Amino acid sequence: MPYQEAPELVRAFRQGDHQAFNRLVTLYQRKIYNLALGYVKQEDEAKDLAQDIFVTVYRQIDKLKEESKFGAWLYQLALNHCRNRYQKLRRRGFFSNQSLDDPETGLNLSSGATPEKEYERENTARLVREAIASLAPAEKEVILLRDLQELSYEEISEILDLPMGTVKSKLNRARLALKNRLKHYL
Amino acid sequence: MQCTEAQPLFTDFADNTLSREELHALADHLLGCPTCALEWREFQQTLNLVHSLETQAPPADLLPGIHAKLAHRGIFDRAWALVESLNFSLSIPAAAAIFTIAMLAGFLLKTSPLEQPTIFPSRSARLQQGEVLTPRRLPIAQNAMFAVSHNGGQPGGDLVPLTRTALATQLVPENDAPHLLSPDMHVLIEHIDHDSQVVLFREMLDQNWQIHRITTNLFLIHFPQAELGNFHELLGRHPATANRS
Repeated sequence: MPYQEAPELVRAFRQGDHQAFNRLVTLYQRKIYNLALGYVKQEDEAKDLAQDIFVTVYRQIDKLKEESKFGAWLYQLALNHCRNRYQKLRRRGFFSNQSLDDPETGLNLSSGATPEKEYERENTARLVREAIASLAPAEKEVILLRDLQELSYEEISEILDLPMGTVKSKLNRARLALKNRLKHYL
Repeated sequence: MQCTEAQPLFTDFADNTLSREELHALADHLLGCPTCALEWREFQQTLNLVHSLETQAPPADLLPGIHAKLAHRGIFDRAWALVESLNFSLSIPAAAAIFTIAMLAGFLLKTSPLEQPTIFPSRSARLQQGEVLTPRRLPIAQNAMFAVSHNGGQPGGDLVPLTRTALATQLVPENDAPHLLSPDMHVLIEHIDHDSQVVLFREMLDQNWQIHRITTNLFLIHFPQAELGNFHELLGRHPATANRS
């Protein structure tokens, strides 16, 4: 698992090795960028948000108490950034300008499929992402962490500072809510 | 098992983390309940759709952008980073205590006699003119009140200085308030005979000062603070009157 090297990279970065910070970014950038994308749904905004998250990591790395907990710490920090940015953008009406037809919310398509298949796949993915985005913030958060970021219940429990049973029940409610939003499509 | 008990188990069912008893109970219920069976199928389809979503590759300039942001830290960011580096923390009670102390210090400085402007005659000069001063309260605040014994320039030994009071504002009718210059002086004059009143008060009225009779031998004179010098001059011009009081 590439993430197992994170504590060593954190230690090296704390000792002044800036290349270690670059490797940490490279290691986590896909996850953090997609987490940001799950909140703001727009690529440039997600890039800016992900960059701000890593800038905060750079500046606040000394606040991390245990290097082995870097992943959970990073996600806590990232979630705070995402929540704040989401609220800020929502107040500005940023999301009201986006629609299901907005090409900016598209996905990377897998290669090898016919255009028709890819079009259908793209539309489906867009619908699912829109449905996730329309969930209540707490529901969306737990779906993003478990089903898209593929974190374990233990990790989510630590990130959200909730008992594991609560995480599971929240996830179940979020999935049921998502099912109801996608009912017409299923 | 009831339908309301079945749906909360869907996630554990999908994760295969149900106990043997829960698994049997849920499976039996789904076999016998078409509604919950449909709900479960849709739940599974939803999970399949969500899990089929592909993550998007981050843009290539994400890392260079981070370094660009780090390089362009503003003055505020640098100051904030310095504060953070001090590892300074403050509890709410401590912050409240500091705020209270700051407010108290501000109040004490404001009421301190130090560095006050000397636009008035010296204390000794004013005492010689018969004015009984409130101790070290210069400059005189709005609606301050003093007791004056009009006894020819000698301090009234039996008079106690009146500190700031609401009495003056009660005596002045509200509809006169806009005509008063601010800040104003309120001076009490007592032990004055009728002849002195006539002479002294006529001149005061000529200057548009307000005279309020409180008792037969106690009067409140109300005049602009800037005319305090005129008041002293007036007292000085009627020593004979004063001597008779």
